[in-house]
Amino acid sequence: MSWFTTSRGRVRRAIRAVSKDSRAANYVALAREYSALGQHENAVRTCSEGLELHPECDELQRIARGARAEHQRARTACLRKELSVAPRAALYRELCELLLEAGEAQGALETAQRWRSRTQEPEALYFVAAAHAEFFFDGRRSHDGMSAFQSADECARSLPRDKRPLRLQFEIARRCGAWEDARRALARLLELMPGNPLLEARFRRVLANCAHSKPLQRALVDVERSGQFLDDEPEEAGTFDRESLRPALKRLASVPEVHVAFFLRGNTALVQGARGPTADRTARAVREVLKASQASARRMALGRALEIRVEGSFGALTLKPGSRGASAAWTSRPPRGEVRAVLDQLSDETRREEVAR
Amino acid sequence: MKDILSELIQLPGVKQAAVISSVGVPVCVLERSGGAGGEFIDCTSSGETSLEGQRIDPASFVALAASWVDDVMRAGGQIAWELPKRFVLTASQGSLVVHRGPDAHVMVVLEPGTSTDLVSLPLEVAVERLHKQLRDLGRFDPDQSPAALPSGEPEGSGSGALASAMTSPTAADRDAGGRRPITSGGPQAAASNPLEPSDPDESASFDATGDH
Repeated sequence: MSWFTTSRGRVRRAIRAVSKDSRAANYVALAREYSALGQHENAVRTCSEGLELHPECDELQRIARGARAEHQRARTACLRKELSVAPRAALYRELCELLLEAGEAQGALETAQRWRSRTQEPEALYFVAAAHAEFFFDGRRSHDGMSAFQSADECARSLPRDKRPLRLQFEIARRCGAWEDARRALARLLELMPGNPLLEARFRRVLANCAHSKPLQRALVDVERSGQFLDDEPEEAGTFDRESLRPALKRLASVPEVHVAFFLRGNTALVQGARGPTADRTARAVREVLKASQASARRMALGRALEIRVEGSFGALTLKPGSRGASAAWTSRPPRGEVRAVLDQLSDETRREEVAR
Repeated sequence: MKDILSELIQLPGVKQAAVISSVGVPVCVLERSGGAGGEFIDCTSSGETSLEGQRIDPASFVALAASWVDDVMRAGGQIAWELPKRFVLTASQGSLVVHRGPDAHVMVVLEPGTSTDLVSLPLEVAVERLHKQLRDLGRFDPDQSPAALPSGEPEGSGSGALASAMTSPTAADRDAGGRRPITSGGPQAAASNPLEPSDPDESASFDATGDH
């Protein structure tokens, strides 16, 4: 009890400090006190207020992220408990929204399917579609895209005034180049929101693309095959800065357990530790392993490949696909410590400059 | 066959455990129903998605897993002589770990975020149990080598002992300057390579089309 009273006292003092002086440090102190008391909503509110005045404050952003995640976790647990006692649409809806927001598409899909099987409410179908769409946008598996589109279509027919399934259909069709389907979804959205200038502008753009539209099924299969959406940046070959990569690659190859280190992007590979035709052959093999694994991960509904490791008496071959390329190393044992860190850094574009320094 | 998987399905984060033939036929597939803490259900003969939240039917999944192992072995054959034993694919929506056994593989699918190292030892145990069962049935000869040649390697490219020795460079090789080639090739071949970059330690490799 005394701890609680002291904490409340600290919160009061922190509030007074913020009202006297709106420095970022005072907001950070107040947000921390709220978090320590488990008042995550208040912590998020304090961070939002502080970030309006100090948008560059990293600490406030970090506390806000943590508090938001904690709040979501607590609310999710509370909703699950309440649903087990008194299931109803409002609770299912909030839980599905929370899970989708937290990136837990599998949990959202299971909840929405349970909701649908219990109540047959058409709104549940929207969340089934949204969960499948999340899987599709992440893993690029055509089956997920088609399931999302069809569920959204069924939902739109049952709930003709609901804009959400139409937005979902438009997003799926637009990203894979099925412009005719995108146009149809947009036309129905315009019927619900006549005169919306943003929608009208989009409609005109989509109409211009309809001349080279693909059928939805083919467009989805193309996305699965290439692993690329239309709005993804194409994987350009040979456009990366070799000089910035070389020090990190050399550092990786100099670790005693590393036999060969690779960096691959598109059709180009940098190899340290092997030369000439051997380098060429091993780089090709690594690229084949990468392509096969990425395609298989998509087909097996596992999503985006994050790491591929092959182990045997020859050691371990580890590949780390990233947003701008893939790093790989052939090591005498499964990679740990420095090897793992450099592989992570090499495949992550945002950290590339740090590596170079 | 369920005995082989009994330990694996008790591990936290395991969504599916299976014994599959090397050509992708499901021998025994156990899949967890519902979320965490759900019971494992035998889905060996299931040809369609039947469980809540299931997005791919078990038969298709195991066939694709076997196909992936095959693809990786074929490509890996160009790097090392020995065939790999353990395959790990960590992805955003789950992880797949496959341990190659005699004529069959043992595999597990893990929840996203679960460490694949957790299943390393239990998988080895499961494969050993599979060995034992097959030995009891007289279906597995441990002395028989798994394959005469690794796939992807042309016949006559080197003797087994030579290739085996080439698979791991020694410390002496490192000290001697450049690294020893992994398989065939060598300084002579390297010198004749028109794509050889100026830095002797680094090679830029390109695809068969010669696209830079």
